[in-house]
Amino acid sequence: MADNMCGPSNALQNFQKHSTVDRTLQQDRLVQRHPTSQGFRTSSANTGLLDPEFEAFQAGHLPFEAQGLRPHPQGFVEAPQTFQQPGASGWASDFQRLNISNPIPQLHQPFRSQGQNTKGWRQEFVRHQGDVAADRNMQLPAGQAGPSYRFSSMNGINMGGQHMGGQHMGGFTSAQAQSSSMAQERQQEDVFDEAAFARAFEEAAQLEDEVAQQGLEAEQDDSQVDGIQEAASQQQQGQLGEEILLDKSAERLLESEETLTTQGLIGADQIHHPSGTNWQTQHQPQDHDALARTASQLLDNVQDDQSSKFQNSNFLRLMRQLRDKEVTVKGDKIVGTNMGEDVDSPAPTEALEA
Amino acid sequence: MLEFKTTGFNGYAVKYSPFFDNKIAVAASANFGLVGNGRLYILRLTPHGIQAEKWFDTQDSVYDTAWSEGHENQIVAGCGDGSVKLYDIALNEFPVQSYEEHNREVYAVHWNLVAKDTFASSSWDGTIKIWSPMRTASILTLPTHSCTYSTAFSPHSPSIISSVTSDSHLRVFDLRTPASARNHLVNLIPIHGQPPSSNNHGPFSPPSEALTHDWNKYRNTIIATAGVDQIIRTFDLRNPQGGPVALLRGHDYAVRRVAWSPHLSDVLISASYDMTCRVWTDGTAIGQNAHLGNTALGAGGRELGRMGHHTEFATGVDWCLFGSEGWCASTAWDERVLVWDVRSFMMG
Amino acid sequence: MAPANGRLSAVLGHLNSSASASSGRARLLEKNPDDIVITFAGRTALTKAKKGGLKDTNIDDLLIALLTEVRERSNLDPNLVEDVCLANVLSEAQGYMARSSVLAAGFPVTTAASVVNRFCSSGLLAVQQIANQIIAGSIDVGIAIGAESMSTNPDNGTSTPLSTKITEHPIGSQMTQPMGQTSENVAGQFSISREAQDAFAAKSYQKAEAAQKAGWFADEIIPITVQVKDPKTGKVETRVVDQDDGIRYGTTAESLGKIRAAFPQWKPSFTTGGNASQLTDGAAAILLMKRSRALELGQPIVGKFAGATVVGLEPRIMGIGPTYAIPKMLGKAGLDIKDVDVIEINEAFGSMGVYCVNKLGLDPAKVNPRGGAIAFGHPLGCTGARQVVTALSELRRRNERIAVTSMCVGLGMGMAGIFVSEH
Repeated sequence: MADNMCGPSNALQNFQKHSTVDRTLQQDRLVQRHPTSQGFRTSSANTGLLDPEFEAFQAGHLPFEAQGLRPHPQGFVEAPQTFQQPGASGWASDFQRLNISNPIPQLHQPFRSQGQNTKGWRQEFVRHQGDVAADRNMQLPAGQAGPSYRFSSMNGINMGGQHMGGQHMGGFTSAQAQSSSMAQERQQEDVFDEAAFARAFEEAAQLEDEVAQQGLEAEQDDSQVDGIQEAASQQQQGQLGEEILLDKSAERLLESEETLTTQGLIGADQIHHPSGTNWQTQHQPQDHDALARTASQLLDNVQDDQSSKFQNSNFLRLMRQLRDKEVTVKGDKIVGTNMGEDVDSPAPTEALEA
Repeated sequence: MLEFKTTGFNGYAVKYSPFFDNKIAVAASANFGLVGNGRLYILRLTPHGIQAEKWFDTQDSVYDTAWSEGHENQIVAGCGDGSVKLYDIALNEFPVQSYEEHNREVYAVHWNLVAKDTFASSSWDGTIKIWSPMRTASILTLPTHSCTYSTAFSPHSPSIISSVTSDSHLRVFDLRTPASARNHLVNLIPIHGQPPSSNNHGPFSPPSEALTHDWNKYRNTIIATAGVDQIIRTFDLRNPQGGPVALLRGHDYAVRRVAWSPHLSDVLISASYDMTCRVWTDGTAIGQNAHLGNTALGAGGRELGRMGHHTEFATGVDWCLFGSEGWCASTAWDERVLVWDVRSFMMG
Repeated sequence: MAPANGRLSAVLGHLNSSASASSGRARLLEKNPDDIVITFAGRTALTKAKKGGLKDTNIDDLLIALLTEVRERSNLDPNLVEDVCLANVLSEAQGYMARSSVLAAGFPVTTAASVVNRFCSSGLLAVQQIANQIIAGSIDVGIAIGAESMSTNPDNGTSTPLSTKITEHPIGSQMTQPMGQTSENVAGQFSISREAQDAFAAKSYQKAEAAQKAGWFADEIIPITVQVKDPKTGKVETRVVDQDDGIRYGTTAESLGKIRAAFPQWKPSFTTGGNASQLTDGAAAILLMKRSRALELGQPIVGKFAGATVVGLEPRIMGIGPTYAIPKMLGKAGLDIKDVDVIEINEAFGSMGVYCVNKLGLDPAKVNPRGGAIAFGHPLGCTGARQVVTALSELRRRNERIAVTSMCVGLGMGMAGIFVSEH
């Protein structure tokens, strides 16, 4: 099952992942991390002029708006919109504002009252974020907090020991600026649009200039790498506003990496997990029984497929032969198990230089 | 439809030459790539059909191939024994270089489309290596810690390279960044979704191996990924945590290869274990969604057609760059390379 | 050089059907914001009617006790609960009981109440009722509570005379057949022997005994404090009830074989008090809302309700209802029976229990792993909700994911539902 992927080797591999990723606060402070970098933008005044048009051309619809409206996969019908509560000026809200009876004494958490303007969970959520940012007593389980907006990773939702608040100097100043501007924007209507995008774009460009002055720290002292970067800066001048704005908030990578380490090994990683020193599997002798078993499992997985293509597949026929031990692998060939006849062998191999 | 038989070898990848509109390379392996030799075919499309110009045999399977973007006769192949071989097709039989740094099967090779002077390989050994034809050792190694089925340079920037892996993640690396402890990693996107939280309400599926991905040729932040869970997803790097932009469902088995059209910004083609190649739109072409009226995730994305002539697992597809839009080549474990016009398989 | 088996295993992994998006199981395990999730599930102990700890607890006191616990333990603002749906079969004035108990349990006046009754499936129907309201946008948060006091509300069938249109209808006339008779009909028509029924019943007792001794029920049961009257002295005392008391330790098929037939008037007369469900008091409650809501509120997500369905069949063999309901439900969910980890089938009688397991080809290790109604009872309206509590607890314990709950329903129906644990 997808959930039961934990194996004895996991702990060590996961530890390696932890140890190879430097998450020291020093690192964050000293190393300039930028979504864009030198050479990406030229000093030409015309650079970026066409960007808004280009963005508009490219954007079919922004992905951000698409969330939350995905049809329920199990076929349950979506709530018809007629059931939504009317807006603040609706008569129903008058009744909601009445306080006829004394509310039950609350538990320690400040509960959010049933709101007006509930145009779907997403707007609720946006208001909720606003509320939460304002009310720091709200206790959310650690680890659940994660920004949904690219520029808002520094709000008050991340608490409980996560090193969010004060570490952002150097490369993150712009992000902080973004955060406060985004926070303001969140007070208003929930509009995630080109304006915010363009603003961040400018700030990133500003950042780049700062960095370009400080110069790059290249760990690879290698002319080829410099060559790539050289070529890069030259290439950019010719390109028509085609830039990838990569968000490299260190916290986001950190979160993704942490989620990744708790995820179990899947598929090929279960068979052989890249750990750099796993030579043993390379030199083990062929286990013919294991091969037959694998072939058998593979056939089980596709056994429900009644299509003629699957019924007549040569590959599946080979699987049956492997399962039934009519053939097996010997060296770099597939051979019949009766009297060593070659079955389904490929064109004869010549002596080849590897 | 044109056909070429790679008798005795099961196809794994097919790539059109960037220089000659009638030249195709095919990576193929004996015994379905399980054991035995490999063969890199150099094919030519002629008025009389597809002919083999030459081929190169390798000790172990060949799983992928990529033409040089800078040199019309250069081509690389990724092999089952971990080697990456550079060939000059003006020569015969032997590679001009055999790079032997990977510890496990090399599943993908890709040439730098912008700088044109480097290429990348990715392997089950959990690394991506970047090479130059001028050097005998790799220039750079990027760790992924997971079987890396696919790697690709961005067509829009020489310094951006991406990968998808068995751990169900899309990684984007920017080589201009200082290596530091992150090894140039700038994006780590869970293809299957983020765990649900108060901030994230996007779809979340069990993680599953990603086998292929490709950069959109027009929209420089769009990447398509696909793999074992049979869904083709597109992502926008401008909103890396936003979940997939489009979900294209339809394949009945794992998807082995996807390739965006070089002519249409919303069209891509896929090859699957269900033995079909399918053409899709992600629904973003202007005017496409007007009649749908909603912006539900993936609402506009749909299958446009499928080609079911392969009789074993389909593993490779590539678009023809020149000439008539819509031509492509595919290969499969049925020992065939097919060259066909997508438009003759479109429905409605 | 590299072993072929490794490469072939990689291909096998690509063809792994349970990983595929088209697999019902994978789809069921997806998490989407509109999923109906369960943030609290718990039950009272089940005690023998007329004899056990709840024998003197009226239905309203039973409801008040459990609803109070739900309110206090769920950490949810009670103002957010918009409807409480009571599943109950036997009580007179069910509607009154529901509404008043909700208020007395400390919910605000703004929390409404409703009642459902589809006999033995009422508990599952209440879950579905609340879920459907949430899906339709009528409410955001609701509680389904199944409760039955068979001690204070004996099941006397209906005393209302039926119209001749019913009694002369070929199928309608079957309505007058008591449950015991339907059990014998199943045994006779499908040749379910006395021995097979006793063996099934003994296994139920044995599984329940093992579960109780291992302390598994502690994960399900919420102790409540009730009044109990000593039948001899008449003295009323306050007691905490937290143990299922119907489970007879040391039960074997042989010992059950000695019990005489309960219905000699209906052939083949294999049903006994030992291989049929017990009369029992108890209640179980489930708190439901959308996933997106649960995340906003910081509520723990215990599991997901993935739908339920109903079937109808001939009343005279009502016991085989699950053999229609379960396949129908699996079909709707795109699931294969082998995708299901735990199956709760209400043990109305050994006859239908044996039949259903065999007919559906179920793995006995997955069926009622903590025993069933034969061992610890069937409080009619409670059972459908009780199964959910048990199934989720057992999935947690086994670290598995998917459960199906099902029951036959008197007068010829069957229901089945699907639940996913998200521990």
